Amino acid sequence: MIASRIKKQRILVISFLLITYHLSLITFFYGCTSSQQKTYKKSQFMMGTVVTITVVSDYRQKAEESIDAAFSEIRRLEGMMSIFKEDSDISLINHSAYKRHITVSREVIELLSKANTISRVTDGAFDITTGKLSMLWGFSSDINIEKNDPHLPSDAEIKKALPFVMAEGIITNERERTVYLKKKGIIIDTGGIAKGYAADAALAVLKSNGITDAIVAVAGDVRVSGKRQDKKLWRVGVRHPRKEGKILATLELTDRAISTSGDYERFFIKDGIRYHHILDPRTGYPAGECQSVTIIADDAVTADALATGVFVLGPEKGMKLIESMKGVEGIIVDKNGRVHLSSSLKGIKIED
Amino acid sequence: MKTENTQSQIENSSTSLLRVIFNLLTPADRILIFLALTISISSIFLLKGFALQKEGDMVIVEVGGAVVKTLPLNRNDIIDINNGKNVIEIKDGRVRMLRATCRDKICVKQGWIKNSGEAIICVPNRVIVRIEGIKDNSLYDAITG
Repeated sequence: MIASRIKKQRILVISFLLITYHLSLITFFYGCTSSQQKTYKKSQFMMGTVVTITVVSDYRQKAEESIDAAFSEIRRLEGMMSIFKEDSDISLINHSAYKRHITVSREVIELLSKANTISRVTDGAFDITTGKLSMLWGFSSDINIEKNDPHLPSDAEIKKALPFVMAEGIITNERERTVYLKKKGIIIDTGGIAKGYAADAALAVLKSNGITDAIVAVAGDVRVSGKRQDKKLWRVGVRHPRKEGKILATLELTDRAISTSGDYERFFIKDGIRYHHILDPRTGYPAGECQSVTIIADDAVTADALATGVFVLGPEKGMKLIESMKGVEGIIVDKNGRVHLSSSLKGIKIED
Repeated sequence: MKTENTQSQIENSSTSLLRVIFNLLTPADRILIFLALTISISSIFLLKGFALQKEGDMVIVEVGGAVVKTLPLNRNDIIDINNGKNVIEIKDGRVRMLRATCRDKICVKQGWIKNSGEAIICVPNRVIVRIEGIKDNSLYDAITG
């Protein structure tokens, strides 16, 4: 009797020890792998550039599905807004909206309305109707850069193109979702605003998939949300306008958008003069007051268009505009390489 | 005095419990438990070793959206990655675009990258060269400009 009881107890004790030990092992490994958040990053060629999406998530599948959904959204918008796709809404407007009212998608109406707003606040320095000018200079944002032929047009050619640069020539009816062009020859160029719009839309898709910590970077148009995996703010580097591969400043951001326009991306140099792709819609020539303009705003579409507008306005008027707008910050590098910071950015470290 | 007493009593009872358990085990039981512990503990290190080996820093090359090459970052090499249109060089744990047929050569001018999470991108030739590792240790989460 006593012997059998001792035997039973022994078996119980051994089983108990082994089970506890292995349970603790399982918990240890579970804690190490499954429940921990990870950073997932993917890039794709879209909108004539590279789109990189970074998300923090606890499940690989959820992260990858959300990223793919966001990429699809950008591809869908590209199909509507590209000036290089023959069947896009924008191409349709450019080809035939001077003849009749064209019905377009809600997103295109929204884009045009946003462009109009930024045109007004920048006093015409940002203008979405610079298409004819850009074509004349041979600057385009297409992926097939071989097709571009940047060259210096004659003064007469530029004078001839200028009357077709008129933001007020686009008549939209938001309720009916129609667009009409006042004049034949007005060409909309979405290059300075569509990438920002796409970054916002892609982030909205990520959020609807339950992702709160993410970065969408459509080339230099960046929208950030939430925090990094290590719970710190996202670190966004601002490219130095004159030193290849170097960073001018580092900004730590959450739930903001940041965008930069620079004269170093698409340009050619003739007789010692740099001619770049950011054209002043009022003169028809490249805007010469800045090397680069970085704008921080609540959404990427504003940051994108405003960076171009402020670049054209120049450091003085540009900074005045930045300071007058709520939630907008900026870094302006003027033509002499001097760095101007808006009030809330004073104190950040500038590399030289 | 009183508290010391109770403490030593507790100590006595816990050591005696272990002793009782130990006495209950036959030599075979002890060997069994010892073996189980040894195997479990050594398996942790074995698994970790495998995981590290698998996820060491790698150079991932994508052309037109598809991964065409995966190369270890610690093996020096010069590799044609895009039918002669792009050539990369891996040297001393860094990688760079050595040659490219694109017009502006932005990818070549970018120079070396060495941290996981960093990438060199040649937009005209649709090439991405990035470093992937167990931990993203790039200085920036994104670049604007």
